[in-house]
Amino acid sequence: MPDVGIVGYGAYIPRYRIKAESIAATWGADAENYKRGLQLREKSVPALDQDTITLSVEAAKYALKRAGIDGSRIGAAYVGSESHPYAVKPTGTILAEAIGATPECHTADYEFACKAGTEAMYNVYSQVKAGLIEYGLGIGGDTSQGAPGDALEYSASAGAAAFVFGRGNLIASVDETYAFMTDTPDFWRREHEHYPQHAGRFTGEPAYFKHTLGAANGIMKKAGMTADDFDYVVFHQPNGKFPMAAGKRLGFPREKIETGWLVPWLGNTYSGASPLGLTAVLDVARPGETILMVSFGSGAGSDGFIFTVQDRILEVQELAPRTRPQLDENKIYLDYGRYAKFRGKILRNK
Amino acid sequence: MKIRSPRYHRETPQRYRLEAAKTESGKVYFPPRVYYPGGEKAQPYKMSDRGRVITYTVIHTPAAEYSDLAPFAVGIIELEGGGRITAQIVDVDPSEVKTGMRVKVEFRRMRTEGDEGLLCYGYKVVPE
Repeated sequence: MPDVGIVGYGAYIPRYRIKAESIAATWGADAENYKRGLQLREKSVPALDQDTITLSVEAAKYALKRAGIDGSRIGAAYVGSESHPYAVKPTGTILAEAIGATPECHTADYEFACKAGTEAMYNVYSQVKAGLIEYGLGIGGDTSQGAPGDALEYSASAGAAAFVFGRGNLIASVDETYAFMTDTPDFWRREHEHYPQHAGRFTGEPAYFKHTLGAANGIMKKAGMTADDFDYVVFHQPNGKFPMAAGKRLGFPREKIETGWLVPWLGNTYSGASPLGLTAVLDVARPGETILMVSFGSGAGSDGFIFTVQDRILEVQELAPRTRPQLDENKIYLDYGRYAKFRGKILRNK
Repeated sequence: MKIRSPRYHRETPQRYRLEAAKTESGKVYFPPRVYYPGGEKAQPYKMSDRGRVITYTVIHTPAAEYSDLAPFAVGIIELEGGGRITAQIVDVDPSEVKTGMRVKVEFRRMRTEGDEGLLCYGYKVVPE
């Protein structure tokens, strides 16, 4: 059994929400199309004083609490996001300072559309496995952007998930990893642009499905496993439809996908999307259960992980707020006007 | 008004991590001082992230840089284990804030200096 893996995890979801109906009413669109077709009912919205850094810090604190270690023992802190608040100045330094990991800590900010979070996890895991650090934090978090009136506005949301990787005392071992990547122009944002561009339907088959299925099939082949060997599967979730379709094509029944399928109520938290799906699974997982996780980032690529849940999971699940209650409880709904103000979409005098 | 980098940087142990000092008699000072009343000695002390509202006021007409947040509550919070902070109480309608209410400290963006300046982070509290 591998002795390197996750020793603590944390999720943070802002309290604010906007319903698909509120967005559709503003733009004269049919909300039912988004709710039925893409299965997007509502999404999280960051508060005026929240950004990728604040969300990541809260998720990291919960992860440290579950890991039972002090921030000073974190040897590397990597944050994946496509909404790092500064163009030049690392998210990681502020995060590391806030959790008390400085100065003996390596930090880096990752960007790879929605895959940046699992990149951070992969590299922290690799450093622990190589024996370079004792513990490290891999974080995926975003306050993602969608242009007003665009289909992305119904999904682009906010949240963060953090994972402490270490050796021994695991809550989930990393049994296998895999990466699948090509140069695919499905979604991008140029420097100084506020909102991303996407290639419409090209984001589906040649982008999301090719890489998600490629990584899932690749990692299962590498591990000598099939869909039947897993208790849960977590995919990147840009909308409700894509992960369910990917799961079906890979032979996973709906019930193995649903626990980590948060997007109808959360939206697409970009770099936080599959990591938050994983925290929702870890919240309820039992020792011995196996999890397949496959992220996807436009551009395009997917990272795959296979985890086996360890006995210690039962001791840590209650130590910090679980994912699903943060999603389902204490919500504050915004109308489109307040949402536009919160997201800085109103043109104002300086 | 812009905050100078040296001042912002100097205050990060308190603003980011609630680093205080506890004297031999158990009194908590935030921020830590150079000298303590009665010549007492003090040790570094990390304050709790849980507490309750001792008193509060609601700001309807704040300074221009906080106008987007108005109206908002600012309260004095007594933290578990000792120490008090003055903090904005967010993620709640100010009319729902009550004395004695239990709150949790969260890391938030305190100030945004236009499109070019520093982003300043620190503590606020939210209902627990």
